Amino acid sequence: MFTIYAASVEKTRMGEQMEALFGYKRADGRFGIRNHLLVIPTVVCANVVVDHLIRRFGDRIVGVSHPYGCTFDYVSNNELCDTLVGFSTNPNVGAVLLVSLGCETVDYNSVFERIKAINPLTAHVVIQDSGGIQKTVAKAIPVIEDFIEQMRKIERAPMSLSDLIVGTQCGASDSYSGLTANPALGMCIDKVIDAGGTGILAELTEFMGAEEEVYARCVDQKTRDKLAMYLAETERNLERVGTSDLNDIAPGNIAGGLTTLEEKSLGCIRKGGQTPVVEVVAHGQKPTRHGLVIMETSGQDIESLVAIAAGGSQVTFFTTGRGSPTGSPIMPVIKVSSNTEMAERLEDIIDLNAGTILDDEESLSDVAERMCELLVEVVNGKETKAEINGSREFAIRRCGVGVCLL
Amino acid sequence: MKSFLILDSKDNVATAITNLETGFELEDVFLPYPVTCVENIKRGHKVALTDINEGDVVVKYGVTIGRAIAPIKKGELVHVHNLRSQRGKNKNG
Repeated sequence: MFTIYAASVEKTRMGEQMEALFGYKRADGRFGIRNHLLVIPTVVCANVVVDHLIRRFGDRIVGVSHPYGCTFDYVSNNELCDTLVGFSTNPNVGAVLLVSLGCETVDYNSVFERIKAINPLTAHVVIQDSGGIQKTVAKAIPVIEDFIEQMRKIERAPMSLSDLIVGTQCGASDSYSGLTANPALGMCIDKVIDAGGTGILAELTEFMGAEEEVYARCVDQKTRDKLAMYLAETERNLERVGTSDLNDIAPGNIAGGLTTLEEKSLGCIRKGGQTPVVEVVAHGQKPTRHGLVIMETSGQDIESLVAIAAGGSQVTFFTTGRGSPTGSPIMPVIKVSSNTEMAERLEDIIDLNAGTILDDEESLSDVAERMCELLVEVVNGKETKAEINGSREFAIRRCGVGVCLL
Repeated sequence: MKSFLILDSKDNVATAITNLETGFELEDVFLPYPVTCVENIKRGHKVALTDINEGDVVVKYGVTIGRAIAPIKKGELVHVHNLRSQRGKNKNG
């Protein structure tokens, strides 16, 4: 496969030529590459407190709003708890203020305890216990001021590539994504893994049609069986919700030349490079091994990015052909364009153009090399376009319907 | 700049990298014969390298990407009007 590119594949060890990496060492030993103060509600009804705190503190905090937290869907409640805990304890988060209403179905006390057990800089305010919105805000202000002071004392310390979990994501793909941006990203991920780091390949809807190649790369039968179980479940969901003849891909994909899910998948999985699949983890769970890890997420970009961040990924590469501006509240997202035309037209959302491969200006390995260089810069503090634009989207899939096909 | 790509010797479609006009001739090491576009193929879209019968598989990256739901002539556009996914809701029919 990919005969056409075989000659351009060169192996250079990433660690050998790389400048030093610096990150924020957390209480549990992990390293963050950003030092965010996260303010997050456990339920939609508490969003208003977050809004007040954003107005007061501006860019000194990262406030997240969301529509979840109260449902009698037991599975959704549990997955929300796990995702809130994983996301809030991402190593890019230096301190957390959790805001609850007090009567939601989500077990907010357990969410708070679980976060605090990992990060001591965690606090909790509950609207119904605090005497209303204004009193809750008044209670939160000195807590945040104290956190800001304490976080100021945390300095960047040397870290290595083996401390890094690099996510991969594609969105608003076109038929060039699988020819340029995705295989180049795969080579970059191979280099990260070669140097001791970890890569995450997600979006299981976009494995349909490309399973055989991924199965063949699983390190053992147990890993393969776990992946097969998740893929069977994903395909059952697709069978259940399919209503049109759009071949399970988005209108933008089709306008960009992609025709079927299989075709999109075969391009999509190139992001994961060529190393063995060492582990398959559930939605938002932390990898326990170094190497290429597959995470079960939906194909909806924002839901998938949140799950990847909940799994502890400090930075994610996001390839796009049509042009997706999305980011993450806490994790730098590096946007890679599959084609030069879009990279130039949507200049303020693209960090790196892989379209040069089709323009005959660069080989895949040249682009992979630039990706590795940019990765180091972003780890060391360079802002991505999504960070500059303030793209901080947040969504969590709802179980059973987590099959958005975009 | 390349005008089209064939990704694997088993493929029966090529991907246009630039807009290909009717009459454009595709020549490639993977092709024992030149293929002439019989309609305009937009950049990013696929062109058939052989005649493909209704029900036959379409192959890209050396792997099946679906089945033809109409006869496709060599040089024609291959897209949603003549190619259908075999996965998800289309798996059993």
